[in-house]
Amino acid sequence: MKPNANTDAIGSPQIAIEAVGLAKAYGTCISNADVSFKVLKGTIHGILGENGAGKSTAMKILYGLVKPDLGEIWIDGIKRSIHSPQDAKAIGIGMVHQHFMLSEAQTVLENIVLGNETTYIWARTIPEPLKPLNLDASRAAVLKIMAEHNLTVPLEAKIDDLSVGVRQRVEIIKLLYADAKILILDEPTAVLTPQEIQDFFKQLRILAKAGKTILIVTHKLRELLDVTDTISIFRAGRVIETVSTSVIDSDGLATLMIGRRLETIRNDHKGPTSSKPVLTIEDLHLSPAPTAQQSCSLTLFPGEILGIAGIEGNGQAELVEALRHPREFLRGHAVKRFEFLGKDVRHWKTPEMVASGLGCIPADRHHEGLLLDRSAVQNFALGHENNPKFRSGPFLRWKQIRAATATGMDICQVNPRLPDLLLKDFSGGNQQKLIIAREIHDKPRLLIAFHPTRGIDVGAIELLHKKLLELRAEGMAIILISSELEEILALSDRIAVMENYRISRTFLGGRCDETELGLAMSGSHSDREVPFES
Amino acid sequence: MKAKLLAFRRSLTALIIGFLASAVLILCVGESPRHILQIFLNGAGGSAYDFGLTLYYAVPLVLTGLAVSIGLKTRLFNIGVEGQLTVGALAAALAGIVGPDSAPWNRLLGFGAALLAGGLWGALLGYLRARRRAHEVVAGIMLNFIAYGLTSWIALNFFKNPESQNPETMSIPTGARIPSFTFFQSAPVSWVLIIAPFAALCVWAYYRWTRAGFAMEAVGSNPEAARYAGISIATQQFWALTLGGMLSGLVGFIEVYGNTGKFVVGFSPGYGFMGVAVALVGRLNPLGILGAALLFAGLHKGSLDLDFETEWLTRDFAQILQAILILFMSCSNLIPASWQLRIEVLKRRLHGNRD
Repeated sequence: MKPNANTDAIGSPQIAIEAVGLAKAYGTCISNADVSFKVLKGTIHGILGENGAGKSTAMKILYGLVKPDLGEIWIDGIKRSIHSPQDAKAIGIGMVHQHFMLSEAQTVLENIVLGNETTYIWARTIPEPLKPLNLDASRAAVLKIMAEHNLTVPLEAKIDDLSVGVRQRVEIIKLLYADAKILILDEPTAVLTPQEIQDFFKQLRILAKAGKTILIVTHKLRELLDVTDTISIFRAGRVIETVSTSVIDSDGLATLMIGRRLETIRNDHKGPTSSKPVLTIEDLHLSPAPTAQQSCSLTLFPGEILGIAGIEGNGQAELVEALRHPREFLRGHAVKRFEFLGKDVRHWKTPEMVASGLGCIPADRHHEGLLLDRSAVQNFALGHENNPKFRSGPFLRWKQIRAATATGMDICQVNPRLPDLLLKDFSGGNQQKLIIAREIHDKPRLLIAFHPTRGIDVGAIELLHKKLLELRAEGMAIILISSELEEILALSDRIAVMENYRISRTFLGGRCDETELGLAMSGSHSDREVPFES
Repeated sequence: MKAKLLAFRRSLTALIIGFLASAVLILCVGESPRHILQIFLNGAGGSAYDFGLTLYYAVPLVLTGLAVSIGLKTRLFNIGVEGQLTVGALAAALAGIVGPDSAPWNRLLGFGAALLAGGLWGALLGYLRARRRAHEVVAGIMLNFIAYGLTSWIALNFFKNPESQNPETMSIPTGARIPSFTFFQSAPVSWVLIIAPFAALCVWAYYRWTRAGFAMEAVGSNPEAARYAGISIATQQFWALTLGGMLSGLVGFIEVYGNTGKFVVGFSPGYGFMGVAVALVGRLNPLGILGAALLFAGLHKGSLDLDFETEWLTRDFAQILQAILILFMSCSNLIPASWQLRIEVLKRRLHGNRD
């Protein structure tokens, strides 16, 4: 690469993006109050902030998905108004969304050229939508890009057959093919294993060297420290500071982000409080079409946290489904033994499970956990409307429910403490706290926490982790399913790795590290295995 | 509460804008908007008689509006209301004809028969939808046809009034008919009127206080979360359509006991379909539906008078005006939101950020 790719003629660095005073409100909710930052060309810039701090909105404004109420955007020194993603693409801005936007039934090459198709010269007179594609010409161009940036993907493979890591590469090549100079990556590492993340970062550095400007939006501090050059920290709709990565550490970032220092939370590994198991599962087939090896067995005792690590889609959702709706799930899946609190519960429905002591923090709170257009009190009753404390005959006792909600909000520090506020007016972290308050208010014997900290900020995560350890000390059994290895390692008494619809490896908490777990998650072997029932 | 007030304010704004747009249209055809408004107001409530007729139209609309709204609560479009109320009316009439002569027992029997028949017709739709996965709109429309044919056949082959040229059944005992208010002069407004606000109140209480109502609302708000919480969506949908059928059946009771005293083939001018508009304009809120039903009834009554009182304008024009109002009401969500947001941002800018 040319050494002066990122500087202008005189040698001073060029500013690729400058945002000045961006503001955006949704209804009465201010998402961006005053967002201003500068990004130098050819650097990797982190956008860090708690959930609801306004970072996603700012990125959407840059990409033309959201129109700012106020403020200006300057790209390469020229003031631009970006009204749509088409505008953004035209001036060289590309975005990879957290959920990839690839057409799964088509090949990699077709996905890459989609929207920027090359057509044959002889087809000039044919109307645009009917022009035949010149895939060979496109292929040559894509191969050139792949060679230049040291990115490889199988061009003829269907997206369906690719792992998420490769899909992400496809997304990036797609942007490069569209001639993007500024790449916005929204939570790019959420679905990757630790090893994939390292590869991914290497590639990002190569891209930056080649003069691309990269914005990474995330709330994972450590990754930002690994890969970025500068970081803008968002808090409450403003950029409160832009710092150079070389002069700051993880504590400093967290302090800037939430306005105070974080505590470190660790499991003390005291062991279960009783030897009578809460949950016994033997040979449960989780896969829709299981092979002989794909069965899952686990035992869980009161007062312990079982961490389940694994890449998403390896059977975790099915395990939760089995526990939540045993009767419905087990109709299509075989199991040898399925006991909850010593009782065979194979034919139980959800309300019975809940009544005898199952709490559940769902993976996707908006879809599975909450009624967003209802108040906190009404949400508190959801799933507990058969609780004898909450009902009399066919009627609900809203007074009691309201009282329980208020208590729950106090215990879990839900803010604002307004039981009648609609759920959509709470921030993501507070919505999650409310779910936790709901699920633990009746002191369940088993709590399933499925991605409990997904998409919530460090302050809320800290509180939630403390809460989980507290509950464990009180004798609750907890299944913690997460793709955040740090979380699993910090909290679990035992760790099971789920891979391909089975528990492939088990570790004792505190006796393994991230590398080992990462390897086990991706299906590779390591020999420091600890037997599950020790 | 605040959100509800806001929604109400929005509806009101939309209504006013709708009236303004209608005024422009009226000017375009060379009439005075003031004159037209006068005709409408006079027609809808100018005298006790006129207001009585407005109430007479409003009562069935309240019930069908509620019936549709319960379906929509569970995300189902209950277009079968028309069939359910037809079945309900026939059942009420038959019960009245064969029932005891004692007025209270006869009325009770008629009431129960209408409720049961409407409910069963609704339950049939609910069963097809929830258990057999039929699309509720297609099944609902087909059941409407069947209800129409079946009721006509039964009414005209077995219970036809031999003295009448019209397609109608024999009359129920005169004593069993519910007396009219004398206040409204000759307008056919009887004591059955109270069924409407009472039904709205019951529906409101059902959502607000009962477990079943809460479960139903949860399904409407977020089906995925409701399922996760252990609420069976199919069961809720079945009951939503059944309850809707019961409410629709009551329209039949009102028609037979409060008005004609017999089952007249094709008596409904499309109450079931107007119920859809009433439910939507009332925002699925029982109290809102009461208001919307009154509005629609007033517009309907007013439009009848438009025919007589003006040279140019016919009832069709009144329908255009109705359509304009509905259109504005249904997109009222768009109206003040963007303004509010702009003001809010500027305010924050001026005051600086407080956190």
